[in-house]
Amino acid sequence: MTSVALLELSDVSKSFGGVKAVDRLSFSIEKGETLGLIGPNGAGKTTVFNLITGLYPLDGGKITFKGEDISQMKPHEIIPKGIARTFQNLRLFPRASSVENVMTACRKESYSFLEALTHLGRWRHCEQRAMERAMELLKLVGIADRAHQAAGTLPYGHQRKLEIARALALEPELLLLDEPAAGMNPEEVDELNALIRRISQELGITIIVIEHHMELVMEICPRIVCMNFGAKIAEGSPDEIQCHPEVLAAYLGEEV
Amino acid sequence: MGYIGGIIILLCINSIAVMGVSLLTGFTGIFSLGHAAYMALGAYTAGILTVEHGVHWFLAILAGGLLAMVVAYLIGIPTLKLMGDYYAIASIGLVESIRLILENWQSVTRGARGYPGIEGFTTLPVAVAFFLVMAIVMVHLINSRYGRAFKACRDDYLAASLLGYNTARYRVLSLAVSGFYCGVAGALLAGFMSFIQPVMFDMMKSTELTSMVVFGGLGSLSGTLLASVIITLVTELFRPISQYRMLIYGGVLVAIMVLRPEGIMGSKELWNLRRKR
Amino acid sequence: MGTLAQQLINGISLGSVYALIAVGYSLVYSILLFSNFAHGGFLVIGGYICYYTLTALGNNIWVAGGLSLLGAGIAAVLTERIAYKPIRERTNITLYLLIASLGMSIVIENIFVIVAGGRFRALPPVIPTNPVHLFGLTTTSAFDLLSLVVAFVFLTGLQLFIVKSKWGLAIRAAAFDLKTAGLMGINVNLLISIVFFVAGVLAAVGGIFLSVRYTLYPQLGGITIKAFVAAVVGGLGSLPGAVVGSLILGLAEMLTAGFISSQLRDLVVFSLLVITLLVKPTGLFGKKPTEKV
Repeated sequence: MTSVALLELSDVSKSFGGVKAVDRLSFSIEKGETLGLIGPNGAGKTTVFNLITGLYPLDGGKITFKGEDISQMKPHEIIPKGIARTFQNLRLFPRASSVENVMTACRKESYSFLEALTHLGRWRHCEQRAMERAMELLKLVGIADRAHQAAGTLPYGHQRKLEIARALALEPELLLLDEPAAGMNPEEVDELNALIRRISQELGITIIVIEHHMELVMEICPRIVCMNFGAKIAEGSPDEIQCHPEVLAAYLGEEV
Repeated sequence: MGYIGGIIILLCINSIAVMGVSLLTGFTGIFSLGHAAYMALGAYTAGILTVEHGVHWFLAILAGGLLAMVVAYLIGIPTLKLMGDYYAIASIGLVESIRLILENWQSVTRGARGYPGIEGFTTLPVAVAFFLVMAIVMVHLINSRYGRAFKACRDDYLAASLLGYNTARYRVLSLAVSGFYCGVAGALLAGFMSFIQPVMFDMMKSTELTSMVVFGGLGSLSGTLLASVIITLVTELFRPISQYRMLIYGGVLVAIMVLRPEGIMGSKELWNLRRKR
Repeated sequence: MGTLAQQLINGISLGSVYALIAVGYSLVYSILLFSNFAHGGFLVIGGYICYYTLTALGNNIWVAGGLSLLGAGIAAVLTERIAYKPIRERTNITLYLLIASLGMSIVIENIFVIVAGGRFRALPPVIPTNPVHLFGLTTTSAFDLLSLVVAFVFLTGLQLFIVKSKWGLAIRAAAFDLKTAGLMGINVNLLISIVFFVAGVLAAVGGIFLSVRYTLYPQLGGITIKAFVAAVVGGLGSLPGAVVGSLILGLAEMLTAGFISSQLRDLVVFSLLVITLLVKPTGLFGKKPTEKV
């Protein structure tokens, strides 16, 4: 009996101009897994995230989420289905505070336009609930002490954590983390390690992590996919990947 | 009514319009110069309804706001997909087109000579009441999930769409609300001046409103209102040198962008200043 | 009113003048990715310098024209250095540049209102406007032919500059990716100044011809909105697009004025804008800027 994968990419391709950014890529991820996506710079990893979240149309292939074909959908149609992501280059709302950034993602606490204009009805309850949930998430990632500070003024490590908190506020089933450890010091990486484990185990969220930080990836991802020049060159456990000749060649060059 | 009463009424009218512009440009990040057109729509609707169809002024004002809102919505749907400059140019085209239509549709609008004889329904209590109610509603709107959505569209529309927001819809909504506010302001203006002319609603008017928002701070409602007060009063005080008025507006716009683009208040609100964490 | 041939020539002549303005504007857009609303100001500066030189120094169009082109070019560079450079060095929010350009356009226009007065001035009749008979087919004015020829000369000159010269190559590189062009060693500030100078010069030529056609007044710069529309129709950032868009616009305007009604000509211009935005917002030749995520 095969279980339905949460997310499945089949022969996905995307070109920009003449460059094949993603070349007939196929992989899938089961519910509850933490999958690592690695590869040298320019391998197409972020493009994969962009394709999954609907930023670009596919040139070929299919992406299904929970059995539904999301290949041609726009981001605002895909995200509510249960996918959230963070960005390689951070895309916070710099003028808003940490808590406001997270609250912007608290979509579930919804009320009507009229209630917004009058501040009557469900407004008070929903705003309170959103604020509470946002603060909980800030605590989870460890930056609750700077809740009301403008996001643009936070230290870099805090900003990275804030993006994760904001993504979590969407209550996703699938979380896409794009180089979450970039620019972090070893202490922060350890915290991130623990946080990702908590997200997976306590919140039950399925995670795909793009990372260059090999130790982190090997520790938290039981399964890893390696890309180069837009194509999958290897897939397996950390041990398998570490010894895989093509992976080594991709990172270190042909002389190994 | 008195001189001071007249100034306060003018202040209320300007402030209502400028709140609409603040929502659109300051909070949603859409640079537009179309506001004068929406004011014109509101003014002429209210004028024509009260003079020729005996509609009660309150309903006429609302009708003016609604017409402006509907036109803004209809125009917004196809054009707001476009970013920045395209929309700005389209908005200039809109103002000019509406002015042209008003000048040439003589049978309805009496053309460039203007539309006289409008009942002076914009008394001090009326103006202040409209201002207060609409100000409170605007504050409410901004302090709601809609305000967060607008600001997200302004600060990073890509990130906003990746939080599940249909940014196009929110931008159009912002434009529609802004249109309503400008329309009401225009209607109130008609009831104040008792006489309206297409030339009152030209690019200069749009520029005045935009410069108030910029001066006060893109993203601060209290800053916008403060700027509206300052600029309206300064304009009145410096009436003798009014030919320099536009030159000063232009200079102020440039100076602010170069020296302090955040304007007076930046993105902070007067009523939040004391909260320090 | 007149024959079809006359209106066609009128249209192309007007369109070619629009093209001078639209191309300069599109050039700036292609490099800095913002709409310079002050472009109309360069036009007016060109017109007034020409006027004052002609009245003060005698009717030598070459001197007056040269000075006016130079003056407008310098004014454009100054505008950039005073208003835009400080902003673009600090932030990449184009909204601020847009607002600053709006401010500059108001400043320039009103400087002339105050200094030169708001009245309409006719340029001394140095540029011939007498009727010319074309191959016995139709009559047009020498002015229309002249503005067409001059526009053609300048646009060809620009094309040669962009395709053949070193700085032209730099401009093309910068239009593709400004940051990378800078990293490749191109002096970006100098490049931007050159681009603005060229834009100012082109606008001045257009300004001189428009002053003759419509008389000179401080708000003449407002006519650049039509050049903006032309640039959008042709595709913002595309120079051939700006030319094509301008010709379409000029023809549409003249044909409407000639055969339908003079009042409606401006409405036709804006309808073209609306249609373009609805059907193909990037215009005929425009490119969609892609953002890296």
